Amino acid sequence: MDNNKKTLGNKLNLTRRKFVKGTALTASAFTIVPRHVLGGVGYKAPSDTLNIAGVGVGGMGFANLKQLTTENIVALCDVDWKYAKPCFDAFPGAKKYWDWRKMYDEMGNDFDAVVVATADHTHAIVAAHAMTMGKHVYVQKPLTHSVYESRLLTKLAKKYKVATQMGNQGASGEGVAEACELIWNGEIGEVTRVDSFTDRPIWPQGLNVPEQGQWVPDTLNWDLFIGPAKMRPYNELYHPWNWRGWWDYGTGALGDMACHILHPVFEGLKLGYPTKAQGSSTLLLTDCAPSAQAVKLTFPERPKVGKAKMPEVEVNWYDGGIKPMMPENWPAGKNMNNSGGASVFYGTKDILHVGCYGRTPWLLSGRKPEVPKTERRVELSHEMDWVRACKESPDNRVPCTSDFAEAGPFNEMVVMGVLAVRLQGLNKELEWDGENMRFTNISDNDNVKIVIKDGFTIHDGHPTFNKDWTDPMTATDFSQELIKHTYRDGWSLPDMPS
Amino acid sequence: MKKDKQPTGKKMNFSRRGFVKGTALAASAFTIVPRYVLGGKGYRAPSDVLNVVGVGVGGMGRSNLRNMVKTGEAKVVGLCDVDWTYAERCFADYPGAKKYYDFRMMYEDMANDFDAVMIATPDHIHAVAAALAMKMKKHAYIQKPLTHSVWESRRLRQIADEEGVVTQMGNQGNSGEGIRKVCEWIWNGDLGSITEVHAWTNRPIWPQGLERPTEKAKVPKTLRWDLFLGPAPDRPYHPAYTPWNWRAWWDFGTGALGDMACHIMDPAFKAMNYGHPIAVEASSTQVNTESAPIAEKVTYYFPERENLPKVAYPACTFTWWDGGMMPDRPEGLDDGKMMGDWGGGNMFIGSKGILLCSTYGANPYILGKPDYPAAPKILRRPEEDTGLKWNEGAHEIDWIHAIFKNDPKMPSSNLSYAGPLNEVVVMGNLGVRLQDLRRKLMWDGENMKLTNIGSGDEIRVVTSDRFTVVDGDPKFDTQYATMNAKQAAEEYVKHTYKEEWQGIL
Repeated sequence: MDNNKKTLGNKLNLTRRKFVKGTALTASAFTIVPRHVLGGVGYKAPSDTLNIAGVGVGGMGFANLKQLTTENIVALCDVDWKYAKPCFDAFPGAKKYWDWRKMYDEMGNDFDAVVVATADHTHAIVAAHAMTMGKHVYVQKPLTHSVYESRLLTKLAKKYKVATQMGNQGASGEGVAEACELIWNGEIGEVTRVDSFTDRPIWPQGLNVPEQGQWVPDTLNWDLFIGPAKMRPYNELYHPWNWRGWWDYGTGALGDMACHILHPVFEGLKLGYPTKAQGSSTLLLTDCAPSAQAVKLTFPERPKVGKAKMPEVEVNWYDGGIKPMMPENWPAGKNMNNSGGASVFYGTKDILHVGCYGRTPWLLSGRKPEVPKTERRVELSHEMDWVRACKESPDNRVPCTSDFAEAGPFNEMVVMGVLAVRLQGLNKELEWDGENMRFTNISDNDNVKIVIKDGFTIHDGHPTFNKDWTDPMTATDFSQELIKHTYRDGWSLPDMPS
Repeated sequence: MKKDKQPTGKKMNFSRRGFVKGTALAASAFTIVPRYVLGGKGYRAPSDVLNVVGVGVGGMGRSNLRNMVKTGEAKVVGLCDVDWTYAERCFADYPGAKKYYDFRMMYEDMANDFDAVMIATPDHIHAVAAALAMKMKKHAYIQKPLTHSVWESRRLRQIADEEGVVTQMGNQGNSGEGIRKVCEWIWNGDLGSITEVHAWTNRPIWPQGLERPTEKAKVPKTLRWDLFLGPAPDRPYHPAYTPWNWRAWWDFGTGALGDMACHIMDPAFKAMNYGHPIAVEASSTQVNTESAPIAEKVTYYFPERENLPKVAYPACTFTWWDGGMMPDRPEGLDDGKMMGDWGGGNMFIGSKGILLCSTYGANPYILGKPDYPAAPKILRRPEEDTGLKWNEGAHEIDWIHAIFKNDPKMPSSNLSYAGPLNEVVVMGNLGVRLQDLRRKLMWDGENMKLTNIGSGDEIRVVTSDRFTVVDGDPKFDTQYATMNAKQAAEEYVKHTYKEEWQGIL
């Protein structure tokens, strides 16, 4: 096999995995290998390139693939070939697909790894099936659309021993590591409250469902865009860009930004599953995410990390421009928002401010303590660190900074925020049994009603506030559906590993 | 003066106030008076009516006037609106009333024919319409928010005091039972000392966060656009401003805070005896130069105040949430129970308990104490005195009775109370509009000044935000205006009126 070959297609019938296994004997040529890719037995020679497929390549996926040009981009899949055209053009040798299932069928032996950057609602199904085929996966944030899907990807990653990375690229930055080291060295004491926020959404949300569908463009396969979700008529308001604001496909500002902003919170405080959740927002609609949200999640006491005790902590999230209170000693005029949002950790000894992507952690006291550097620093990009992990043998693999063992539970926290907002009509703080993925204080008698359409109009100067509401829905069913979606016929996830 | 006499313009040359003072002797004819108008000593004779004019009568003003006339104690003699189409329904209610576009003309023309004015224009007109009337010794019922700016609130209160007129802000919940219970429970020490209060509303439930319309629109024949603008800077007419949605626009309205905080901050302001805050800190959805945001969070910091016999008043924060945003649910609140009601509510967090109530202070209760024993009743009950519910006329009729009694302190939301309350309400918008200063804004209430803005400090505020998706790629075109923060703050505190309108206050 020619390692430099760019176009492999169907002719290549030796899979990467087979190839990797077969290359142990070549491992003597190690002297030419840079230190950071060194590994144990079963290691892929660094001069070997990874064969990568991309699913959802029009937007962020293209950006990720551009970081991977040292590898072979062998296949590209998108439901919208117009949106994907710049990416297709950039990788002319890659085979093009509309349907990732067909791509997996036809090229199952010809790629080693997949980059998934579709709309949120198809992350899980695309990634899960790839993992069951033994493929490494890089999945954009938010990792999944539901709690169940996150749990599934976490377990599949463990079972299939593939290299995984969620696309919250800040995880590979210096800041997250520094923030964690400060916390674990006891510099801020015990943290009982964290306030986090983002300025997103900066695009329209809180919209009514378009009254009319539009003709589907020739370059779009709408049925494949919908995938496991419920079919609805196409409208340009959903795709290609604005799907993030629609609950069926996206997860609003939380899903967009919380994976960046809450990451140092989840990792630094080793949060695990929350026990309580509550939320509020601008007008909650059945279909479109609100313009602004507030969420409070409570996490129980956790084991000590380093020098830091981990008592029960509440994490407050605000978006849409609503911000937490500035700390008492906040420097006048300084923007709390660093690169899209921030987190403020209130510890018994100090207050820690960390920007979005973990940027620029600093202590409000002004102290700059020397703390031990315990965390690995990623010298490559977030994407290339994943490539590094893909090339390492499972037994000796250094996990990625956002591998699914962490990103899975972390993403559950993020989508729990969505649950709190979407279930706000229950008028209760939701109690969550993380292990079993169920709310323990929603009873069969609880109902919830949600506004379908806000029909505010002014006629002759007199306002009417017509709101169309759903019928009362059984809260247990509704919440269960949000935790674990019922997929459309023809679409299913692999079984949950035990 | 006969009961059914139509207004006779300038021929009637004695004022109601003069007349009221002279009628104390007639108070013996009580047997024919319906119960709800019964009062104490000095009460007016039932055959007298108060002559009221209305300014801004198309919307809420129409309801206020209806409540004012429902007991037969007041008569509507003049109506003024800049929009005669919008006012048509109210004009039809009172076919005998004289109609005007310009309140200045009405006041002049009917100077001797009316005793009191009801003002329910957009917010930016309240102060000039009220000040001019009060300076003519006319009693005033003024819709909430009392005024558009802090300085206007201060001046109206001063003018009301100087002129000795009877006033009431139209925060009708203030005449209800709820706010009285809230006060009496707190004053009775049943919550201990309170350091944190929250208030919230689902408003705005209409479009806000809007940009200035650019397309041209023709002014309807029945609208006097120049009079709608009044003291505000000129701008071309557009139907997005009036008749209904003016509240969304900074030049005319005060957003959700101005709409609802006079109701929902009211129980806290009264029960907590707040006075001036020392600081404010706010955030919101995108704030622009034109229109209030669609959701806001505003925290006011109140200093320690003088204690009451049974309750201490330590420093306290008051946080306002609107647009659907809510404070955290307190522990102990039953699952499934809404905090407050559909429109909003209050939460008082005290050292001994948590009190919750609905919009307008309605239905207060202390968590975990469903059978809360009544604290001593200290406050007068306008609902009992008028025989009317707070939202069915008690607030208006109580004001009318106070006029007959010539008792400016009697209406519970008279300007010596409502002026300071409204100062705090509209001061919150300073926090919202100046949030780009990224600091807790320190407030010198006495002198109506923000004290921690440097003369060179600037804020950048969005003027236009165009979001489009072109071929699947988002385009964010956000334009900003940069302005001197100190000057902006001063202008928000005290507006520069157009020349024609200067000198009224």
